[in-house]
Amino acid sequence: MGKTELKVAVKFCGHCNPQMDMFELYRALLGKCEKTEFCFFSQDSCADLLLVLNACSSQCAACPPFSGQTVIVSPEEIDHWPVSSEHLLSAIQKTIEGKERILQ
Amino acid sequence: MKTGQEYKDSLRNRNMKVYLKGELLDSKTLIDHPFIRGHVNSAAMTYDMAFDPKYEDLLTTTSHLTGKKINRFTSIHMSVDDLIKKVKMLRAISLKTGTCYQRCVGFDAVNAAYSVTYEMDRALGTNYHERLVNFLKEWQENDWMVAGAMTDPKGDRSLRPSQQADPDLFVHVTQKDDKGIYVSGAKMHMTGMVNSHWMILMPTSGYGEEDKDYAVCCAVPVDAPGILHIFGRQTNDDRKGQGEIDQGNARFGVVGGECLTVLENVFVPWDKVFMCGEYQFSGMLVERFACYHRQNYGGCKGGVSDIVIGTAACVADMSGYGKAAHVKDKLNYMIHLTETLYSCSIACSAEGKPTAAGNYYVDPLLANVGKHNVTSVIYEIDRLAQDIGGGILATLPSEADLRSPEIGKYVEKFLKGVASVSTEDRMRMVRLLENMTGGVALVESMHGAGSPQAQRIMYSKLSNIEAKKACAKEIAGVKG
Repeated sequence: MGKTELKVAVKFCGHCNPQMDMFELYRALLGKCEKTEFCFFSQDSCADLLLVLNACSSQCAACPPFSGQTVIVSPEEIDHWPVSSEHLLSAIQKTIEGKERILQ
Repeated sequence: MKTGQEYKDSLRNRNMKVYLKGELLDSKTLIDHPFIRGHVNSAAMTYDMAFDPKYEDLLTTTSHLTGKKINRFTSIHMSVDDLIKKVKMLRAISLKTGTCYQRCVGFDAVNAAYSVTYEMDRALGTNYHERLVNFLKEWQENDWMVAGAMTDPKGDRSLRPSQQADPDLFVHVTQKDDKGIYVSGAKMHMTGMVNSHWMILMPTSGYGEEDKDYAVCCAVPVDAPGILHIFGRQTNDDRKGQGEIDQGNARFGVVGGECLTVLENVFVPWDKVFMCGEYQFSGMLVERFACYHRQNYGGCKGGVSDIVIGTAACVADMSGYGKAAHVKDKLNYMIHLTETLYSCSIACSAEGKPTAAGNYYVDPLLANVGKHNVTSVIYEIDRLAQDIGGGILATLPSEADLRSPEIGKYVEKFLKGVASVSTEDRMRMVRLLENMTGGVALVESMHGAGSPQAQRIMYSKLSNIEAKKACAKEIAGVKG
């Protein structure tokens, strides 16, 4: 299967007091979402979706100005909706796939 | 921005005089010396993490002077968010090093000097702020490591600087000419100095007119002519020449690699002078620096305590008592204490406010409370860690014994804990715990950023006891 057009920029919080290692979660996501193109966020990144991965519940990662949609993740929430930690990976995958469908 | 390797390479270009155990070290290779290299590795982490997407949100920011992306350690706090991010950055780095990475001192010095020079210029018509800003632009461009140099030797503590038998016991201006000033004296306990590019000299206290020659703030290269450094000894430092395990934290060392810095008629050009005789502002500079520095301790020591907690928990697991209720209870209390330290740093940052210069300053009372907590709470955290760790912290055989063809088998056999963990791994964790909970690590928590009394004397100044009395009287129905 080829890649879709969806490109996801990823941004991390800084991991000062991590409840969950979001870099590990990101790696797992790479394995799960094979059709999605990921990159690390930068001011000039051209992406459809900004995925902000916070390692604790304070969700302090700065959300930079971004033209597309932003999804904010912390160990037990996606966009402030509760998600159990064990289902977090699949829930993020679902969220991304949902955005992909909208894009298509 | 520099990478960690670029930072290390840049240190080899200095022509620096560092003495260690009576010997002058080679300037090109001193950062490889076993007593020094751990501190260099730790400081290098502040550079490398700025390039890691996982940490860059904390380790980098945008310069308000140039609009460029810079390492946060070279920045001026321009918002409450900047103050909070500083604390979080410190905790994040401590989780990687388990010890001091030294770079906050110069960071705090420039943030303090930024607002003080602005206010000084307004009051006295000087132009120190512009000079500081120009220096800061160079600093950001070169991503320098800058040491903050405040503490003078002070000689007889009952005497003012000008009353001392030896005038050099406080750094002071000895000469001025049209090109610049000359300073002499010494600075004690200089964290990260031997692996810095520059230092910012600051007065050690508020002064009166009679001590105006001691009211001096300026930036000086660490290898300027007339400067030498004498590296301090640490608990168990001879272990640094004898393998890895016995050091506990061989990669990053313990505390900041402090030294005594001696200045003999050191020339400083005017464009690097930010205070010279304006004694009225010396106390303000000291206080602002101290409060910024005290803000840090719940961040950096919070992260260091996270490592102590993790190490104690590992030692308990490796020894087979990790599931014991009393161990879990102690670990939970250590977490409580650690987060209490962290809370004060976050609180003093959240209550930060802008100065006349536009940069943000912490709440001084809460910053002092936070550092004062560190002077006792770290001892309690470390006491509990030693309680969990057991007597083996004080009696563990050496790495040489473990490696010995003759007796290694006995160390291997009798130091074994649970079956799934090697003896060597258990020894490594025990040594890390020993290293982090004793000797210089504890003294640094007590006296770094000012001894406990320095915080207590701020309380009466910063807290309104009369207002508290009035409230109490009103509740009790006492009039007048």
